[in-house]
Amino acid sequence: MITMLFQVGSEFTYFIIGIVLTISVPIISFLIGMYAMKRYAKKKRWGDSFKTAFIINILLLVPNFPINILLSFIFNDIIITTAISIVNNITLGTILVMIFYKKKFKDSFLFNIVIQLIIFPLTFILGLFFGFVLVIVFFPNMVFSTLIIIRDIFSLIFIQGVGVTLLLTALGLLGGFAIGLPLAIMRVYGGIELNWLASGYEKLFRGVPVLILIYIFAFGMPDLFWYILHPLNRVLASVILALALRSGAYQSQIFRGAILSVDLGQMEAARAIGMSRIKALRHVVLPQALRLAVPGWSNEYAVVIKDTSFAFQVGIIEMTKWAYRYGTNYPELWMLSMGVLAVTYFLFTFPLTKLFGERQTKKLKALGIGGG
Amino acid sequence: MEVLKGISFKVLEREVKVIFGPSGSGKSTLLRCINMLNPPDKGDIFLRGKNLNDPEINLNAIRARIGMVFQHFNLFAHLKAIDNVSLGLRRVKGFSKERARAKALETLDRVKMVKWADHYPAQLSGGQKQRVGIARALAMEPDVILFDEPTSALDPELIGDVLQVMLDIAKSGTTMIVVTHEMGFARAVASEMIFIGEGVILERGTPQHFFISPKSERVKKFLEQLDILYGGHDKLLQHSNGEGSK
Repeated sequence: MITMLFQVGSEFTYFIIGIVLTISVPIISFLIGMYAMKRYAKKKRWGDSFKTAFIINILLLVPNFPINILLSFIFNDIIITTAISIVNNITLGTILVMIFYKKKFKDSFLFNIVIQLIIFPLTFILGLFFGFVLVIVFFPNMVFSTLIIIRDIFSLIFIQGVGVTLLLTALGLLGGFAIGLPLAIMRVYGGIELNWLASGYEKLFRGVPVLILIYIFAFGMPDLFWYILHPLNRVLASVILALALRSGAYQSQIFRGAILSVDLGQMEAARAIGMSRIKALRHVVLPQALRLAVPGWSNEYAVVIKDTSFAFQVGIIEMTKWAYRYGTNYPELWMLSMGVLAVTYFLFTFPLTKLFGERQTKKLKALGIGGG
Repeated sequence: MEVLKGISFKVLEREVKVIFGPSGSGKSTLLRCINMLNPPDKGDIFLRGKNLNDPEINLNAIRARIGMVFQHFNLFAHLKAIDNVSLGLRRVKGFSKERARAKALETLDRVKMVKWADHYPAQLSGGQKQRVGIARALAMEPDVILFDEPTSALDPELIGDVLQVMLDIAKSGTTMIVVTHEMGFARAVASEMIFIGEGVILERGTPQHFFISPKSERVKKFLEQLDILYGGHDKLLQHSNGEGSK
């Protein structure tokens, strides 16, 4: 946005916006400080003195103008300026509170830290908001064209890339399930040897980054899927294999935890009516374990869909590749492309993890599943 | 760690054996030996002449003929009451869906839980859960049903219903081995009572023997304690027993 501002707007308009922000932000800070200080003092019964709060805040406000301008000239860095400004406010504020509210050092100090912690993020956010509003007011065309660009990027990423991404995710997750569930059963019900095998697998595929796995299978073993005719599909299959292997290692943990959460008495009762271990697993333990595994599993879904973003390194055209392409073709829009991409991934992960997350576990406990 | 140090007894058909004694004496372990959930390290279990330690035997088929009712119910939490009862019939005995359902309803009727057939265990009280547990064991028509302290986890008001059901099935001729502290129940239907302590049988005999003249001081003291704690149920069962015949 700032970059585009420079390109599109004139120096003068930028200067005006700067002035408006420099004035409005301290005023916002002052108002918030007043409100916060008054409420805090009232709560702590320091004497609800509106006048005292007003004096303190004015005395904080006035020197802030020149100090901030001076600081922004000395250090051209906004972080250092802000940090020094906060420290300055706390020091000055502590002294003023000690004088006017007649409080001890410790109380004043804590009080000011709390006030600053409240003021700083609020004014920052409000300042940003003001800035955006001003930009929209002064440069409506630019804003409009930015929105159009965002829409283009999004449709490129989403419409073109989402199919492949979802395919990779689905098959990777399924593969992981096919690997993870048997592994978990091996670890819980198997003997020492099976346990050791499963544990070894887990350790191996949890310890290697996905990207390296993808490189190994896609480029390192290109003929692994020799029976697939189209070479691109071979790479696709290799990527899915890499994703499945890694996901399997994590899903094994998820299912192992879920199976162990099922009451031991369930297995006992199932065997007591004559079920073999396998039947008992199938009809009693696993139905409950799988329900218990849903929250962890929805988390795994989020991980796998993010893992698919590595696939573009080996030539798969999925969402990240589209954003990358766009960003390299229009470097000044790199931030925008990546931002839209990030939001897209977020839209895929957030609703599902919220839906199938912790709320599910509570519902299940109410049913009596997974108390042990 | 040796839990059971030499126990031996026979149970005849239609008998109700009541096993009692201090906790830690191995009573639960004993039951789990009988249905081979916890096979004994030494010794043999015989069911209708077949030695359960025989490697050729299909233990799952044997367990289908030995029912068990647990202290903590262990109902299948993801299934409705009726499905809890019919699961064994369908998956172990191979009944069809309809036949299993019919038999399950019939059995639930015996334990007076038909109204709750479509409820999940979480929606049932302790006593109701245990009755479903008994139905689950009953429906399999086993040769013998093992009861592992079936009422110990229940609130006092709920124990009566469960004991009543147990009384009914005892009277209808089911072979039962019951580990319990409920002496009223024992007095009403036990064919023989066995007192186990420190892994061995300390005393055994008919209920009359125990309640009129027990041999050892230990048993006497134990019974006194039980009477103090559980005396109330005695009256409950005597009242119902007065109507029926033994």
